[in-house]
Amino acid sequence: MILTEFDYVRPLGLDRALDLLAGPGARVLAGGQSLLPGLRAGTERAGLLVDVRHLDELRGISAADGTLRIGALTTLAELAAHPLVRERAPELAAAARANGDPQVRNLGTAGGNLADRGRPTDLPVAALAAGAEVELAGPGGRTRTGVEEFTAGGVPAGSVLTALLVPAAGPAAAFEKAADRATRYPLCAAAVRITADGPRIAVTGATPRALRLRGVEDRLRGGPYTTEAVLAAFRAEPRELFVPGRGTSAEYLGHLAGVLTARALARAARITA
Amino acid sequence: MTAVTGETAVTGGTTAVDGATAADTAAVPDTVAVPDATAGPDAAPLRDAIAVEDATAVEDATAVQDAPPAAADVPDEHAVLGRPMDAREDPQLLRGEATYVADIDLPGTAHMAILGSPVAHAKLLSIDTKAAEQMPGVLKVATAADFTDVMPLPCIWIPGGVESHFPPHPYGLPGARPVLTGDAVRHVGDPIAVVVAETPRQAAAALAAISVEYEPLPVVTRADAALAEGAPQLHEAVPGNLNAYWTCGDKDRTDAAIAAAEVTVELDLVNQRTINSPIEPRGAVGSYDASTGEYTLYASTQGPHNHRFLLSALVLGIPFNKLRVIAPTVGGSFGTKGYLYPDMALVLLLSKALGRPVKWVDTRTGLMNSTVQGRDHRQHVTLAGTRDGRITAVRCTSYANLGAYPSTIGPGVATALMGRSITGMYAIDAAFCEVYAAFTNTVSLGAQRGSGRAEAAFLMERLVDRYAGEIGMDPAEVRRRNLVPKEAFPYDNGLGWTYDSGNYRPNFDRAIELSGYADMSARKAEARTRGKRLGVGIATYVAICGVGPSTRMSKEGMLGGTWESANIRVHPTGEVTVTVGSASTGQSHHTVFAMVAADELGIDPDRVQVYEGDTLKAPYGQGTYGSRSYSMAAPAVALTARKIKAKLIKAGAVFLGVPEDKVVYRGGAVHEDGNPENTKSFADLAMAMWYGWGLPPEIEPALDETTHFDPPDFNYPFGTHVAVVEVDELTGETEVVAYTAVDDAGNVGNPKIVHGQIEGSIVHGLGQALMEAAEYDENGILISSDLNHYALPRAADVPFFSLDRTVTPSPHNPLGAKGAGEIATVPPAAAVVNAVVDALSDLGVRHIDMPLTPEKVWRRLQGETQ
Repeated sequence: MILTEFDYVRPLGLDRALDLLAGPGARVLAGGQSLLPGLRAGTERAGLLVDVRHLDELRGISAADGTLRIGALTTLAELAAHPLVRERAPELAAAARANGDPQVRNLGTAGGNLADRGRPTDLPVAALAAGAEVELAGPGGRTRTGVEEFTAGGVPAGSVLTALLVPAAGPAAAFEKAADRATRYPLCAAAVRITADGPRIAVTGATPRALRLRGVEDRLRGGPYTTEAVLAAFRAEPRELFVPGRGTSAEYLGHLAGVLTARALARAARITA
Repeated sequence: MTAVTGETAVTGGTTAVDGATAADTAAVPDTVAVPDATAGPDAAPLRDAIAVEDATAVEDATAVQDAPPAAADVPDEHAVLGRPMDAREDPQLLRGEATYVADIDLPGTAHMAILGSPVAHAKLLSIDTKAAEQMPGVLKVATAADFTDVMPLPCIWIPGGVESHFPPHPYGLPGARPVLTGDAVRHVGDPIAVVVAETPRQAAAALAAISVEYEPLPVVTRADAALAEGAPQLHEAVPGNLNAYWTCGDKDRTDAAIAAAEVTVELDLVNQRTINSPIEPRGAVGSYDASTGEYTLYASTQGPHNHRFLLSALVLGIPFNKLRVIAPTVGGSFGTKGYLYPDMALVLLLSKALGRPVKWVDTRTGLMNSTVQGRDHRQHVTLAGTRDGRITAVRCTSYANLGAYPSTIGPGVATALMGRSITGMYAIDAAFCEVYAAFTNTVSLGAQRGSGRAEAAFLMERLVDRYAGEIGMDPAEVRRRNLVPKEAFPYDNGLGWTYDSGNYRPNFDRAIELSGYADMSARKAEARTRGKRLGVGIATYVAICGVGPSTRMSKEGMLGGTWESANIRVHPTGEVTVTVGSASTGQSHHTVFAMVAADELGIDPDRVQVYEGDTLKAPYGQGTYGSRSYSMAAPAVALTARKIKAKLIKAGAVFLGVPEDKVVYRGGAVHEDGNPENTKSFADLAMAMWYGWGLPPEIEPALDETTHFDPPDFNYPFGTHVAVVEVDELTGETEVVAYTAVDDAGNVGNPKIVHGQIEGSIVHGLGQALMEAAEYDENGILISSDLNHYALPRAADVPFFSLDRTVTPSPHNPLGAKGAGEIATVPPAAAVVNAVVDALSDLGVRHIDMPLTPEKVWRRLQGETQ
């Protein structure tokens, strides 16, 4: 289809960007890997694109006080390759690496992937398993929100996602994905992080949105993480937790979520040992 | 005779090595020390890799084989073909510098958008265009009512030899579809109206303002359902939606053999519809010159001359010599761009109406709802045989879905090309195929790379595996026992094809050996320790190519000629221009035809330019399709070069002052036999012929020759592929972990290009097996209407391939060539499904329909039945 018309502004600072985003039909343009194809296909609408790609305050990866701060404009390629991320949040690096193809990873951003509401994406499950928070800038200033709350509600209107804050907990974490053959978005993906309190487990694709599965976590606390045990823990979830995907049944996706979780746990446990 | 070349082992990313081997297969060791054939001009010439045993059967090719080895720096005759040269087209394609239809911007161009039907089947009650006409930038809105004097597009390949029913055409020909539909819509995307505006966006925006009133009609999307009692009717002239009931082979003999057989196996198969996905969607630019009354069409077409004829004479009703068709660079086709489409006529008509060039370029979703789609057969197939592995009969009943309108050559693809091909490499005493070709509310069916032959190989190779399982014999051994023996050629397959040449056993054995077939049980056991089920699947094929002998094709229902032509001009300075009637859609014609001319003339290929694709500049030809360019157009080039050479020998006698039989033509020069000092170079000869001084009356000046080539019969490339898959026991995901292909395309001009074609073809075939499917819902809406919903294989989805070739020249053209461009698309789907069924055979799985999605396979792993 032909791209519809819209206005485009490249504001000089975040404050100006927020002013512009207060207007009707304004959308943030970062990597553009989801928004622009959506506009072309008519599945997304925008009257104004606010281009934030040059705002340096949204860039950079740093570590302080046991937390990784990942600027929202960090590209997926940077995230996948960054030594700090690979070492301290390997589930996040793996999720970034599983994304699309090299061109998409070179342009697509961490913020865009986390904020994408149209379909399951890779980073939210990894952020959930990591127990991460997001930092948002809005008309009332900066706020921090847990990723669980964020994935339920998305970026509030008029706000910009500025950074992802990830507890740097060492390497006992992993990500597994079954990609949709056409889009390479997750058909289903699972991320796990093994903590002192037990495993944190999140899945997407099989569920209406990226979700932490506390029931499964409780059943698996203390281990062992054998495939049989993990699949049984998933089978004990209420059937209606899982939803059908495109061309796939809820039954299959629920099973697949269990398999991917089992594989992620096996990998995370192997790293620990 | 078959020779094995060592285009060895792992490829992909690296360049294949094509090695010279001895003439006799038996003498070919498994590993040959091969020269680095990719090294360029210094590499040893590889003509001697190509062997001809029966010199009388391959007369012209023999002459080619007998050429002596060339010196490294002076190209000799026949020193060029067989060398893996880089394609001269590639740099501009890779840098994005080529000119496609979308890049043609004539001064004053206006832009067209097409309103396609949003519903699959409805009567059109009214169309109101008034609001659209008032939209910004709109120049014209047109409907069927504006084109009452324009004829429908014709259909020119009909099921041969049987009664068939088509929409009408005023010339009494089979009609295909009107340029715009006025009475009813018959598939989603059926063109109803067009808008021409100043910009593409204005034209697209105005489409939304056209108001159409539809009276919905019931929808049918499957061929078998369309033939059922009470099914919705698409065309008044086609009762019961049946285009044709077509058969080939001997029904009684086949039925009797099946009834009397020791063993019979049956399968119900769905060869699902697939969507051709060239990287460039179609486009057309029409330009009318009022001062001369001439029309020019720029279009992404495989056959500019053919389309010129059909459009001028049979659609627009204008003189042939008032229409020029130009195919600029075409970004892939795979069969789709050999068809006439309404937009080609519309841009010309609207350009005349508006006095401005009119341009239209499709979108991906538009392509998926308008450009011909492939495959789509539902079949019941039966194979009969003995307990000791001899196949005695094969029978196929197929329901072929032609879509809503016959495409330009669709009905022939769905009948003859499939039906006559079903016996493949096997000598089977009794064979019969019947096809019910039906219209449905879907996009028109056409060719897709490997068309017809892929569907045939799929059913045969599935049956052979099923049979092998039934009698408890190794599938490789069953195949070996039934191969057409070498002595049987030319071989009549009993269904209408006479195979030109073949030596199947060495080809088959090479693929089995290269794939490591003998070691599979150990590999299967190892895979199980990783939670994977490993399976191996073999598929062989014979793929008719080289369309073709025009008279033979007329009997097959082709309403047109199928010859090719070439012209060669030698310029005064010794450079050469070759023009051909074919038109590349990515097959590197410019490289290969230059090589053919250079090889014959003994000159450097860099001195040869090739032009094609413009009906004003190129000699007539019928187009690029069915893997025919190297066995149809290239022979025309070779024969023309031989005329040039013959003339140079005659003229050389005059210039050297010796009798003609004392003239030796070598390395592009002539010299006196036994006296190399008395010589004239190619450039000197070219200049002398330009001047024409001193020529006797019987020798015309200048060097300008043309040949029209119509072969005595088709050619029949063949091959053996072996797929190794691993199925994940927990998820049902199928990974193709190894793939071996040993193909035989006869003599090959440029192994590098053939290598690329084979790799691409395999990927294409794997796509159908694993992921591709055009899915229509019950309302006839195409669900998979963009690349977010229609999965195509990517590099990461395929393994590195193990490739090799055998070489069995065709006797039907002077190059000994057989088709190559699509042949390797034919067997992969069968090989992969055979492999997955093998992996699951202990669960009682006997067949799984394509595409082999993880969930489908997982359900079979859970013990569910199909």
